[in-house]
Amino acid sequence: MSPSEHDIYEEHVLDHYEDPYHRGALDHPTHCDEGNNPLCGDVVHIDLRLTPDGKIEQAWFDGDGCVISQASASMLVEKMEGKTLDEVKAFSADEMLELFGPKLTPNRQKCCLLSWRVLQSAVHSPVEHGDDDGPQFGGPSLSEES
Amino acid sequence: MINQVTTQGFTTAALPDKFEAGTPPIVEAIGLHAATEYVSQIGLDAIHRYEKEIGAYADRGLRELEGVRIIGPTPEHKSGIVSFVIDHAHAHDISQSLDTYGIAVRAGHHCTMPLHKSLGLSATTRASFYFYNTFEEADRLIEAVKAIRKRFAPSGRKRQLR
Repeated sequence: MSPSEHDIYEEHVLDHYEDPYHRGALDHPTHCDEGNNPLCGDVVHIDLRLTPDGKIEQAWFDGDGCVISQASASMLVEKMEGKTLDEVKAFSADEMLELFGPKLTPNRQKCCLLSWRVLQSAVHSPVEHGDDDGPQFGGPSLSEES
Repeated sequence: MINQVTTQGFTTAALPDKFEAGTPPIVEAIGLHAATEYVSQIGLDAIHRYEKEIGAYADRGLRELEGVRIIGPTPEHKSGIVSFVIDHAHAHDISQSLDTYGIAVRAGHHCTMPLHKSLGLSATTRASFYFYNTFEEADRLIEAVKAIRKRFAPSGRKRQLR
């Protein structure tokens, strides 16, 4: 059976699409990033709140696009909460495709990997706080270092 | 194109000839001739008329469906194409689903991103008909769109908690 004949819209995929985990904006994120697939127009934004010892305390996503891009983002943020930064960085593209489940053709793999790509860059993208309200992690901020 | 070839190496012709190597596309030229003869024998007017009829038929059928919106002009102002959106279903999910019914359509911006932006649409799905498509196939498209709309409509599903 070729992937195109395979039903990629399995029940658990549609469940995540209609009833996503942590969809919306997170209050006081420490890290965030956004990405898109220019060809499809899929957009995914991810907000993270990391604990001082580098664990993902909360992960939220928002976006617009096809079932694959949005359901996979929901699965990813659900899976990543509680993980350490090292665990997040070690989470591979193959593992992301496995987490999603149904086998995807290369063109739809891009949709599935969008949120994974955004997550991988979000952990390197601290939110700049204009005031002192945000969480402090002890280390110097980027602006203080330069 | 080459200039000289020896057992030790070769030199190329001057530009632009150096990039125009190979046998001219003789088979393709003969094929193109056969294709234009075939199309002329059917007649461009007949093709255009048939395309408009089948396009209008599909347009009407899709327009009647609940939750389906036709994008673009009414049939008298277009040829054999129908662009549409379905509530709660993204264009790429629609095209992927139609593929499982053996129906090939185009999904996306159709090279008109500013137009889609002005319509407030992220993407649309477009079915195009030609003289080899049948009215029965247009019916199959309409039935498939009906089923796909139902498939992606909100149904109160709940994510399984881990």
